[in-house]
Amino acid sequence: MAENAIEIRGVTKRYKDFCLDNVDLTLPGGCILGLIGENGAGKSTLIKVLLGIIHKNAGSVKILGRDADRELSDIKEDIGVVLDEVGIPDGFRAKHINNVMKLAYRNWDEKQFYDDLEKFKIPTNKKFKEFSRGMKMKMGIAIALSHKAKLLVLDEATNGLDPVIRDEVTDIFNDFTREEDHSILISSHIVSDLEKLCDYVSFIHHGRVLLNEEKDVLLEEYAICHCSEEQLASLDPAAVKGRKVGRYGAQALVLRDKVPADMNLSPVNIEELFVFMIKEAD
Amino acid sequence: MKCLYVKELWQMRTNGLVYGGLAGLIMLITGAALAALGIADGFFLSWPVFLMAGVAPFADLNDDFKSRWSDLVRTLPARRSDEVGAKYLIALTILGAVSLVYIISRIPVIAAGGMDMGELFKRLALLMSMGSFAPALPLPLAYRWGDRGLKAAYIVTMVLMGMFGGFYSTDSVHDKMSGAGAAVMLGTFAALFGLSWVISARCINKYDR
Amino acid sequence: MGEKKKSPPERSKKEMRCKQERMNIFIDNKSGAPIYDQIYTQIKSQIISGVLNEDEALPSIRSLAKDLKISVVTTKRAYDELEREGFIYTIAAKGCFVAPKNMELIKEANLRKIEELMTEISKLAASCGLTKKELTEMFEYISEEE
Repeated sequence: MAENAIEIRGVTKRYKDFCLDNVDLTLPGGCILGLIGENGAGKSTLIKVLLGIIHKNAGSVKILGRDADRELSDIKEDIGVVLDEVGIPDGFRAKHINNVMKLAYRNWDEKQFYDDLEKFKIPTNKKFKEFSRGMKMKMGIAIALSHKAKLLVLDEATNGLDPVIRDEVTDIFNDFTREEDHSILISSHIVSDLEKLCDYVSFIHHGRVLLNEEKDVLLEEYAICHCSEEQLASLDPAAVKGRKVGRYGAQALVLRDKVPADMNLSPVNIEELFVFMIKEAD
Repeated sequence: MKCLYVKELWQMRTNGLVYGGLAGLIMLITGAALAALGIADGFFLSWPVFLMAGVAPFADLNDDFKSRWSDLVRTLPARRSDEVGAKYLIALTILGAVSLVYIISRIPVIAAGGMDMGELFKRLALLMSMGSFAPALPLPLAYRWGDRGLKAAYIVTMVLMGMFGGFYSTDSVHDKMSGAGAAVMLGTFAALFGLSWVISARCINKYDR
Repeated sequence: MGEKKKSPPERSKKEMRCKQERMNIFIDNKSGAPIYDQIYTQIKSQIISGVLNEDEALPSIRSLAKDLKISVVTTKRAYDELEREGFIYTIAAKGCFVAPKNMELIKEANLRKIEELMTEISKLAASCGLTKKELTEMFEYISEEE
């Protein structure tokens, strides 16, 4: 796990009614980072800035150790991308895609591409517009995997996929990172997809990054505390990172080591963590 | 750049522009037949073909926005200005193809004495001017303003070209133009095409869609 | 390190084989015990019980993570813990191997387990009114039977 696969520092992008505000993000090499945020939180914007699809107003981006501002065209040989709309022209069939990509990427592996299409059961004689959403995604993934990329950037790549395909696709990403120098940045608003897969998670909300942390550390540090409203009020305010008060008691997101040992704590998952934190941030 | 140009080529084919091409072919031949038989001047059939040919790359760009190829292409190891280059090259390719078909279709007319080389050149000059202006006008607008500029630019172009072609079709303009005049016109529009290319390349580097 | 054979019908999602020996690791998501701890405990008990032999190669941190579909950070932590306690050792560029059985360590682990069980027994005994004498008699009777 040598250098960082992605280093984003102080990136800002201003739109009329939305703004990515001074975002820092790190993806250590060889790891999988899950970028989690609601719709409109800025995930796609951040990814587009990362890949140079849109210009940024401020900040620096380093990919695979190289300065993206200067060497982006070259770096892209090593990046496999799947955008949420995939982006293949409607009338294209597999062979058209192959012909274009062959000329686009130095390391395009035609055999692997067709092997992947077979493995994913993607028809080679259908036009892209006739594909189901799942097939479009898998095609995008097949393309991303067929030019010996070291970094995969996936924007909402598992959305709209049925559970079986989602599982297949998660397996594929898992396998991709068996190599030590392969990393993945995957964004989604469906947290459960990312939960098992990721080594690191990042929460983004209204254009700001709320945290960027090892998943395991988060799961250990935080817990859900079930208690009464009175007990909740008696806890150290610094320990409580989120709360939900219901008819039959309260639930609080707490830091384990800041609450008394006898409190009723249960483990938290990333989705719950996210929801609590977002509510608290608002 | 090559991959992007190839993509344009494939897009032409898969987008059914082949059918458009066939339709154009039929129109050009019909025009030639009419002229050769002395029935009517085939020009009124020719200029719409060149107009549609000229607008084709622009329609392509619209498809690019819709399919989000415009995003995907920026993740490929190619420069932004190459995107523009590919579009202008395909515009030239289409124009060249249509011009060639036009020339070939008029050979029987010339043989029958219905047209001389000078006349052919004048008409071709006008048609190519129109055919090059049709993309040259809206493309920079699209690269500058993206989706928003696209529709407006499309309408403006169609209207302008419609007026242009209709105007030239009337006989008086037809005859008044000399061979030299036609050459100057062609040269001017070629320069405009080049200028458009340069502006588009600047726009795509500076502005996002 | 041998190739892992994948035969879908037999293989449960979280099961993993290592060469000819079958090394079973089950992760329980709902138990609340940290995953690295579950791995650590299971590997440790397999080493102690002899399922894993001395100097046998363990799967690499990365491949274990990928096969169990968990984070590499987690498996690394489990392995680090095992190495710290002397159950495994690492050879650079080659991987991790089972350390020679340290009798002291094993004895200690077993002693701890006996202590735990004894605490439970005495609690149970107390709850049904068994005296220490009766308990000891029971134990002697059982020991003779073995």
